[in-house]
Amino acid sequence: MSQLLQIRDLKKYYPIFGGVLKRTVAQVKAVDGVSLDVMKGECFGLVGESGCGKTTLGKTILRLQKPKAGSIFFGVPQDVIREITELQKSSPKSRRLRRLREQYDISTYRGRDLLLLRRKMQVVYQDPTTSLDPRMLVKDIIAEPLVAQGIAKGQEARKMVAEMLDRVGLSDRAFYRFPHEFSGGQRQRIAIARALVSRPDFVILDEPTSAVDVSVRAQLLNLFTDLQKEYGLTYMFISHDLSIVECISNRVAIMYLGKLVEHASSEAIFKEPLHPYSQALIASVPVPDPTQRKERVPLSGEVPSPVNPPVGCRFHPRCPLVMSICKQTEPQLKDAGNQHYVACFAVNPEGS
Amino acid sequence: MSQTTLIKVKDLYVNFYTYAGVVQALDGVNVDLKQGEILGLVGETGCGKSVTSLSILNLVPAPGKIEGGSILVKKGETNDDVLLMDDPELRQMRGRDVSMIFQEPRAYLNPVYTVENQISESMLVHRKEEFLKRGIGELEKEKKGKSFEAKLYRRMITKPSSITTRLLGKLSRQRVWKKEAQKEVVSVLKSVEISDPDRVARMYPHELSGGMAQRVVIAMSLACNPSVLIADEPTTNLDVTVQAQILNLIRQLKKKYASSILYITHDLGVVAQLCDRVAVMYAGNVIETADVFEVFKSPFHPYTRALLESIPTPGKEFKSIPGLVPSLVDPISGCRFRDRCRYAMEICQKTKPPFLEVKPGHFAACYLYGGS
Repeated sequence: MSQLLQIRDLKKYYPIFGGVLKRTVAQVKAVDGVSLDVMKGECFGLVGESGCGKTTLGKTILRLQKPKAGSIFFGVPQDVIREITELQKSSPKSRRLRRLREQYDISTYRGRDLLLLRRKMQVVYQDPTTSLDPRMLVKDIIAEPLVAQGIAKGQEARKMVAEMLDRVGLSDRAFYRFPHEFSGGQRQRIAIARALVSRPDFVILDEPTSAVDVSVRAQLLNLFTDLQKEYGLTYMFISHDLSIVECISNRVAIMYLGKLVEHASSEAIFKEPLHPYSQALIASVPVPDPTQRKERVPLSGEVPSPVNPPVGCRFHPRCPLVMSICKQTEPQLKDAGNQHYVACFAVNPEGS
Repeated sequence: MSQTTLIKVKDLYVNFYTYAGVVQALDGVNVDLKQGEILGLVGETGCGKSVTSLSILNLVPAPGKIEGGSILVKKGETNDDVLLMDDPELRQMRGRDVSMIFQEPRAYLNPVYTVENQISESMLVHRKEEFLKRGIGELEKEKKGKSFEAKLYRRMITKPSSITTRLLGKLSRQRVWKKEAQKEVVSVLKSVEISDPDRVARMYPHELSGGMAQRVVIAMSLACNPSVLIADEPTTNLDVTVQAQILNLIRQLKKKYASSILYITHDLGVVAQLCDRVAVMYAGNVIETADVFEVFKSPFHPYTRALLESIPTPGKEFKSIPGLVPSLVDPISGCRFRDRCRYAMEICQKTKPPFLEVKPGHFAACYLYGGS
């Protein structure tokens, strides 16, 4: 499998303005140095609690937000990326590096390049009631990417919309109706049709099932897996619902306060999580089996503020395995064998 | 173990009169809550879980109307029908006998009052006398039993609503009832495991995190030691780690106060972890009630089975329930689940299946298990 998306040391900070002059007084470090690879054709799960920066990461990858630092490569050959990383180390101010980044690195894209990129990358949001324009007809909603991209219009666009509607399980009676006339599950299907009509390679699913019921959720998840097979899609599945991520993802990354703490194959993470935070998170999921009751709270306290994250390992104030080194230096993601990356000194003693 | 029934909802019908037509939200609901148990009320959106809980407090919002049935709430030795109570009686019951935790703690808390203010509100309604007696006791200890304050407090107990009492109340410099309430607030906040209750008591809701806000709301509902607590999806918008903390808190509170809890949720995981008994709702009906182990091991009703199958398990395909929840404006005849049901028979179209005790303690409303 080859890499489709490669992210290197991506950062996104939001300024906090204060004082009389409204100067930047602090920064919310929403995404603070994330590196990950998404393989072609896989479903990459991104898990974390609210406020950990998973949605911001998704938005930054799509370039709906401009990153503060770091690179995003989408479908770029390996040797180019290698050259760029080498140049960044050896001569960060060289002209060659600048030209290469402008050509390949999404984080530097502007104008037309970005527009063309949107064809290849799409998103389905959490709540279809707010992500669909209430004053647009379904046919216009779904045709919008086609028109905006200049892919098709008129009859041709209509045909593609009808095909897509059929594919997501809605009849073409939906054409001249408004989003409010549909149920939550159907609305999410419209959002999916809109995302897929421009035939993207990569789709970010940002909590697509958290606003629907259990029985509808299963229908949507089946639809996602079917569409993935049919169109050869690559997904990034952002969710806080671990049980779904476990079922749908090939590989999973767990995020805490703007950083990845662990990433590995889905089985490895859910069977034997290595990072203490991952362990606590997975142990917190209520198991739907009354014979397996857990009467112990896996993790006490709450997530600290991302404005002023703890020094050293960000998890150390809540960590049961905390050591003195954790309070001083920040652990890096290190391979603990079998492509299982963990950022923890307790697991990788030499890892810094 | 002899268990007294604290709440008994019998054949409850609720309609909502909307422009689109009459929504038959509850269609003969039967639920009972026993002493010291946690009953899970499970179902999908719009199946009537919240309407059932609101009916128990007689709080169904307009255009909803309770059309029939009875809701018996145990008060002391007698069972009173909520639907026959007048307003003062309802006010007495709400908060003291039955209190409620709502889903969205932030929407439920008033943003312009401090936590202390909001928690003490129901205390001052229901427990003022108690606080005044404490105040008199303290004054007597200080040998000021005949002072103006002490006389005033006694008068406030004996003639709480007379105009002179109220006017004189304004003159009281001590306001002992408020001070006692403040002390009580701190102890309630401590009981919901808030680490710094003195500081939190003076905070405004926007200063609290989601988990903290939910703890405050729980504290509020515990303010008058109710015998029944209704929790309407209290952990739905919280993260899993915080959810685990809140669930544990609810478990401990139940042990400590031995009160009964009606826990409304759509998360079967939470039900399995927390509840003693489960009632499954579908389209305005309770279709199955049984012990939690029984429901997860051998469910009777086809809907319960389908719901349990739709829980994702790794390595297996997702099983979904075909079709959609029926419209309640003009619901289908007979069993409301029949057009999504694998086992639908002819009789299911004609009449509504009765709610029968199939096994001891295990009720189901389905013709597969008798009733013709």
